[in-house]
Amino acid sequence: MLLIQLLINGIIMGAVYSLASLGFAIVYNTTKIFHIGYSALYMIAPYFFWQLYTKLGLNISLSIFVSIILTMIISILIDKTIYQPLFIKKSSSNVVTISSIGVVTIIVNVIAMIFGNETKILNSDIANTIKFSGMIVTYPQVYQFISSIIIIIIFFIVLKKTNLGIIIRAFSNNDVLVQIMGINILRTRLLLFGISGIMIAIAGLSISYDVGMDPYIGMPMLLNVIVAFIIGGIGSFAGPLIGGFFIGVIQALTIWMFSSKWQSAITFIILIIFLIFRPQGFLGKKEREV
Amino acid sequence: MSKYILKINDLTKSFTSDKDKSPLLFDSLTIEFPAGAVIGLMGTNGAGKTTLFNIISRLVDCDKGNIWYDNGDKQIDLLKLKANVLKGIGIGRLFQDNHIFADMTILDNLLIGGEDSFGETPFITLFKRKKHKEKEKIRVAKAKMILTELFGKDNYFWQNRNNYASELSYGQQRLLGIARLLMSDHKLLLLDEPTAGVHPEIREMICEVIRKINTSKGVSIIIIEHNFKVIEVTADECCFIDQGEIAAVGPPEDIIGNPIVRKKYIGI
Repeated sequence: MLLIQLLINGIIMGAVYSLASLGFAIVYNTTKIFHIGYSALYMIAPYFFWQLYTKLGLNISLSIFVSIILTMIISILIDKTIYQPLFIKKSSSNVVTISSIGVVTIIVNVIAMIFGNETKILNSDIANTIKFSGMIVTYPQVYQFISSIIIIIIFFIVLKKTNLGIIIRAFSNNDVLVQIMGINILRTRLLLFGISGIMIAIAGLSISYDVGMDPYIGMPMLLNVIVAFIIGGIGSFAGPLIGGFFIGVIQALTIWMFSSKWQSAITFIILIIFLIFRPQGFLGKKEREV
Repeated sequence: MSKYILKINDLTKSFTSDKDKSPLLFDSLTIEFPAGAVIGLMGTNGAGKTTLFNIISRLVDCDKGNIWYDNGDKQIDLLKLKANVLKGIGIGRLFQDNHIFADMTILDNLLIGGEDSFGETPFITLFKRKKHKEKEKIRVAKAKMILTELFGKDNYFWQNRNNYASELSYGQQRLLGIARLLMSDHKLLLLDEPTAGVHPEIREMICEVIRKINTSKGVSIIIIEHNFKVIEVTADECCFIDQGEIAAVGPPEDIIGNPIVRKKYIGI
């Protein structure tokens, strides 16, 4: 019974990992930026919410909406003011990655300076629960699962059925040729960073609403996101979904077999096993050797 | 005054971003490409042919100069434009290696080349299905027509249109790249070694397609090519670039017979 309960928790967490990892993949697959600054967006969304909901007294729906929009704008600004100038200057990927670390450091420090280092609780009530067949799922968990799944489904409909989806697929396939096809890639990048910002904002809000937040929650989440992204298959959009659920379930099984303290260690052991035996992940393509 | 499609004027480009210290790849390069013709661009490796295409395509900047493009009603300096604008004014390009979207289907590879391929918003696609379907039908019909025109009625591309482009052979990918260029009404095509590394049979087919595009649609074509035979068959005029300078211009047979060209290419 405990195992099934843990698996349910793992699947719910897996949905959030999938969403967050998909947002990371949208940026990486198209721009090839290893967007470490993404972790800061995971943290900043709930701080926007906290300010709007707790301090300014806005209603919860409006606070959520405005927090997502503000996070999306920050995401776009990161590309516009930092990554794009480096791209135009043809800077190496190392330079871009280091600048991305700089983004996290600056945002985390600014947030810690303004709001303090201590953990903040967004929802102090005891969470209502749904019980079925002896299993318990809290309402915040339901929000996490449903919001993640809805956003993932919307993204894949857009990806498969619309011209915007064709642009995203073409961009991730061949960023030079797509320009010759008439696409302004600088403008498209802003759109992609916006979509990615919305995804990580929803992930950040739904988790922080459940367990609270501090300025340092972004990096542990980013590590899980990166592992899900690599295990799922770099270059694929469906890969992060598989990777996300896989990590969620593995972490649940870790709690069952060992303890929650081992979650990160086991996650990285699995990453290393993948990197050695299946570096292309579940859905990535194996490079030709010759 | 002869009518040109492209007039390169005083084009200077240094090898690296340090303009003061770097040697020049092009030093005041000036040349005119006549409209409505197939022009072969020859030169040894490193002569600057692909870089010239990259500058024309606005993927690479140059230090100074102009590239005037005859857009019918007005002359446009391409150096003032961005790469994504060129398709809209009728300039298409086939890259040497980078010619397809490998993880997209053959049909999607063609549709993306269409004039209004990105014009529709996701809202129309998802919620105005009828309007979307009608537009889609027209685009697909155009793709079918182009494939039939180029490769015959029961061509491989149309029959396998829902397969991934990565499943095509190298030569077929080239042909698909050329077919995609026809999805828009281009005035000028830049083809970078379209027959390099392909089977002689496909090479012949590519030559035939290039001639067909030029004669039936009046499209000006500049083609980078090392193969003398391809140049002979396709080009009306030929231009030999050596170390960033125009070493010879004239009919293909003259250029191929030119002692400098023969020495550079075959050492005799």
